[in-house]
Amino acid sequence: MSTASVTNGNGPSLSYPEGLPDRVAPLETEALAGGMRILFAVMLAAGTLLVLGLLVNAPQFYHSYLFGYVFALDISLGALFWVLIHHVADAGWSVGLRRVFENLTRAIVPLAVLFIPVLIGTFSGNLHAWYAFVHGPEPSEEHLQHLWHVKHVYFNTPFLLARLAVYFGVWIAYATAMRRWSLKQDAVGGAALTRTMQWWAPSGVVLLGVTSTFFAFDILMSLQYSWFSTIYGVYFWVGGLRGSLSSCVLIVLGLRAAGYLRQTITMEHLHDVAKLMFGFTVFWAYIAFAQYFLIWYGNVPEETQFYLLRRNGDWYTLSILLPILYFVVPFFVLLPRAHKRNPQWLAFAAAWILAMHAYDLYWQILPVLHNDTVHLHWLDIAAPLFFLGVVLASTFWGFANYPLIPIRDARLNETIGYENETP
Amino acid sequence: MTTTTNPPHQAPHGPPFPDPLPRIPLVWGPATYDSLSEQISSITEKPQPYWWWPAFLITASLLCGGVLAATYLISTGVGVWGSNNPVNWAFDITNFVFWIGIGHAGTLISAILFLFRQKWRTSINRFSEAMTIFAVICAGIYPGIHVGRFWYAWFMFPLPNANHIFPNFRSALLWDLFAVSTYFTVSLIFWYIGLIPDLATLRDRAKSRMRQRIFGFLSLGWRGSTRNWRHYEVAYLMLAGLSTPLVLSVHSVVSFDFATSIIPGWHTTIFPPYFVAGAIFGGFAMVLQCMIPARAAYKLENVVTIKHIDVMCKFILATGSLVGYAYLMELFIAWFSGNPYEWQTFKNRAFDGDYTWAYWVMMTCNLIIPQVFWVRWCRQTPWFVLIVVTFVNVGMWYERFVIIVQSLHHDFLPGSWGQFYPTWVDWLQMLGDFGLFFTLTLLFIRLLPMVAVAEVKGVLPMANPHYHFVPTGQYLKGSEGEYPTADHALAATYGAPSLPITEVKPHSEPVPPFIPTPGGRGTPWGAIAEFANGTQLLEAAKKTLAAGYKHIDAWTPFYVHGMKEAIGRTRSRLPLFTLAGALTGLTAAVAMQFYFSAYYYPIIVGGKEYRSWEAFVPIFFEMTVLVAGFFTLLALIGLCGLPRLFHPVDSHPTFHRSTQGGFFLTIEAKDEKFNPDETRAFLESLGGRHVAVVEA
Repeated sequence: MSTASVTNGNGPSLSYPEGLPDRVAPLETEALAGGMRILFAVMLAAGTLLVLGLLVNAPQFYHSYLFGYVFALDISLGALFWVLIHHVADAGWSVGLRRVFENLTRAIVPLAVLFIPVLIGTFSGNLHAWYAFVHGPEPSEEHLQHLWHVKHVYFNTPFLLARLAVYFGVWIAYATAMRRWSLKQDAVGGAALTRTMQWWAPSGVVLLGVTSTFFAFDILMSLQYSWFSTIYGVYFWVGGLRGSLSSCVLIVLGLRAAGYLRQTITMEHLHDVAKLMFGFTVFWAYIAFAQYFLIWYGNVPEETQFYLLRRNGDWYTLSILLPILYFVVPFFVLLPRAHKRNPQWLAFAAAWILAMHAYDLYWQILPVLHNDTVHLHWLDIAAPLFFLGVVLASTFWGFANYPLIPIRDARLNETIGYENETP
Repeated sequence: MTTTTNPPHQAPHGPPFPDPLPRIPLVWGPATYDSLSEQISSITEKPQPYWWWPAFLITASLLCGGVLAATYLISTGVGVWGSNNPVNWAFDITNFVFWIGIGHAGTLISAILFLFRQKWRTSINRFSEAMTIFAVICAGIYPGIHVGRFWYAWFMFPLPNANHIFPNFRSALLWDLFAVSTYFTVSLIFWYIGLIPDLATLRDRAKSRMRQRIFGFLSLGWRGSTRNWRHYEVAYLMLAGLSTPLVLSVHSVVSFDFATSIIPGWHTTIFPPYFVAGAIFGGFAMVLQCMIPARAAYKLENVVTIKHIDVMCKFILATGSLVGYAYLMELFIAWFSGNPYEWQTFKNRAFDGDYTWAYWVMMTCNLIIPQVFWVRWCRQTPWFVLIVVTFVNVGMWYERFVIIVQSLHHDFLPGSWGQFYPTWVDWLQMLGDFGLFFTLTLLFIRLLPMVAVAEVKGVLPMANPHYHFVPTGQYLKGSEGEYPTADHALAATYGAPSLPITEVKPHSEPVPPFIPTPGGRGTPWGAIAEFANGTQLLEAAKKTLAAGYKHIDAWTPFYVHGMKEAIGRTRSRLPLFTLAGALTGLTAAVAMQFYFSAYYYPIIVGGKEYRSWEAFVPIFFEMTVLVAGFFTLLALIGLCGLPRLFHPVDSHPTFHRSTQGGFFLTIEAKDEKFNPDETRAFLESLGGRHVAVVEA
């Protein structure tokens, strides 16, 4: 590959360093066209179904929509965390992977727009039960008055909208800034931009942690507004980390299968990602167990309501299966070293975790609508498919327009030809 | 051998891509394998500096005070403490939780950072692992003495009392016993395994017969054989993998002591990760508290560099922010939940209670003061760091005090509100813990290598065959020709790293071609050759394997990447033993708890069903890890064929350098291709020096 300026498709004109083992220019539009057609067809079909669903069954639509929405948002926020933590840790091995995560964060902007239906659901009284509670008169029962006053303050409309604006503002600002600097470095190289990103990243981690926690409180935990759990923000965060790692693995394996990045992001890198997937599988079990266990042991009605609701009818089966499917299965699949270094096993594990991440969110959100038992609606399939389409389309828009890896990153030497030294 | 002054560095070929931000080496200035062995080991070999004995006398006096307080407590009764009703738990549990927490930084550094391949940990892991063990010892005192009747300490163990009732397996206090004893045992195993190569170095450097025997025995006859290293590296990984969830579980179980009750301020779901983050936060502060003076006193600035202190301060900032996050969550949910009891507890803590001062001491020390670590100067000025971490240690002690005493003194009913006043016995006992801790630390510094020398050798630039040595003037200047950060400029002032050694250190007298072993059998054991560095040895081993030899072994001061393949070995099977241990431990825990709680003497405690599995999970986990840890240790010793106190290779006059800076290749006589003269000539043709055949 020459160092001369190369114009690639619709990407910017860049000089690629000599000695890269693969072609890392933006994906050719023709190569993508087939996949994109299928993707847009699926999104169009799912989108049509969603619109139809709104007309047929509004409460079901809003809950399914929220389910699909959070599934996608969680993945993008997880990806933003990995971008930031790469800079915080001054990592070298993961430079190539960082571009995948940077592209995954592209979904945050369309998702900010797609949040509007959730707000409509809330303010039309179809989604969050607290809406009717805090906008109703002060209850006469004494034990509800205290609750009413607190929720009245916290969920008053301007305050809620201001908070949401701050959350999305922080996410968009950091995701865009990190991506812009990274892409600028593709053109100019050097250490200055790396240091800029490293300077800003720690504050991003702090802000991302606080904003995503309160997003989880405001939008998910408040589905049962008299319930509360201090660990809920961490639970939400771990889900996003697992979802984004799995998405990254599937995208990289897909690119590799199509002949891209074969020598650039190798099984040595993916082995490390697999270790993180394994680690956060255990961490999820830890957090999930801590929440369940302390509520079970304390046995206080206002806390146990969360789990009691999920014991009704078939929800009980889903509750029992959740730790088995989301922890035990991936734990044993990812435990042997050979599986972590095998593309087929890894693809299976990643797809499984991603599917179980959706299962987990379904289990968190839908019981609020269907108290008695599980009613799987076609909207519960259409919504996550649509939002997965949003994530994929945004991600591949990035791959189609910018180099597949940060081509002039200061730590390029450490990621190309990286060897995993695990004994 | 290369001298420690730096000759102009050669740059045969640079890195493949521009390197505007070079990595700063972990050890600053010139250092060789031998110089590191000397620098660290000599601390334990030379007389101690003048301050050591006065320091020891002070800490030992404090320890005696603690012993006195415990004796008074046991002889008189628990009434000598200030604990009362309603504040039944006070200084005792505060100290217990404080010390358990201190231990967590050691495990984070030795295990979690190992899994994340943070190689800077090698300079500090030994010291902090030792602190883990000492801190757990300090904590372990309290379960034994805290009711004033230590002869009933066996009540803690899963043994039946006179009425055939077993301890309550659904009680957080019993889980604590399993968690803390597992933590202590596995940490000790981990620490000991890490010590083995360094103990061997001390043995091989020993001038007196006594030291040689003691360290020979303690090191189990470790000689740095690659056949051993390949099991060793995997055992280390397995223990790191076990210790990582273990360290999370220990402070989680400690948090269960509080969080499983429904007392406001205690019962909240974030307690487990919150306690873990707080433990690591406080532990890092204590590591720095001890490390900064030790580093200055023993002139370790090139091994524990400013950059190490900087990174540890960042960890304090990060974990301190996590603790701050937990404070925020507790406070927010106390309000958001609309639970009046939670809210009044937090109001009482922060604004209008008797212990508001303690709450603000905690907030100031833990949340506000560590924020100075956002500034580089504050992270890189050792005396300033020392002041900040002192605040953190105080703050973390007060955190436990606030949680325990404040919540107990002011619960649901005004009728059961009370106050706590510590007595002199409380204070003496608490100071006694510090005495015990620092006494053990001083003894450790005196007797054992406080830096993991073998691990640090492995991260020297000279150990990395891909390291690009540059001319001295260009050292740490990036491809843009200038120091990219102030850290680079600072590290460069220490000088460039030593070049790889390319010549074997000559022996004082010629090595004879055949070396008899005392009490030998007359037949040859095999041939030995010495090489100058790991890269040469790796090449030689590959050629030896290619030449058809099968019984090859390479002996190195640290594990050289790729060496096990070079001598024709594959990955160790040791993980299977670890897995077997894990399954054994889990099965035993399942059988024990269900049998005793649901069949042998079924009893309802806390309204839980006989077979409620949830309450058994902590002990499932702890016993899984405990037995897996034992199996790993035993598998390592067994697979390596240790202890092996005597070995024919010991007769070779330079072989003792295999644990310091020497690299050896051996071909055993049982190899079909072995022929004393031909094999010796073959090894010489590979560039080996001091080639000899030793008697079996």
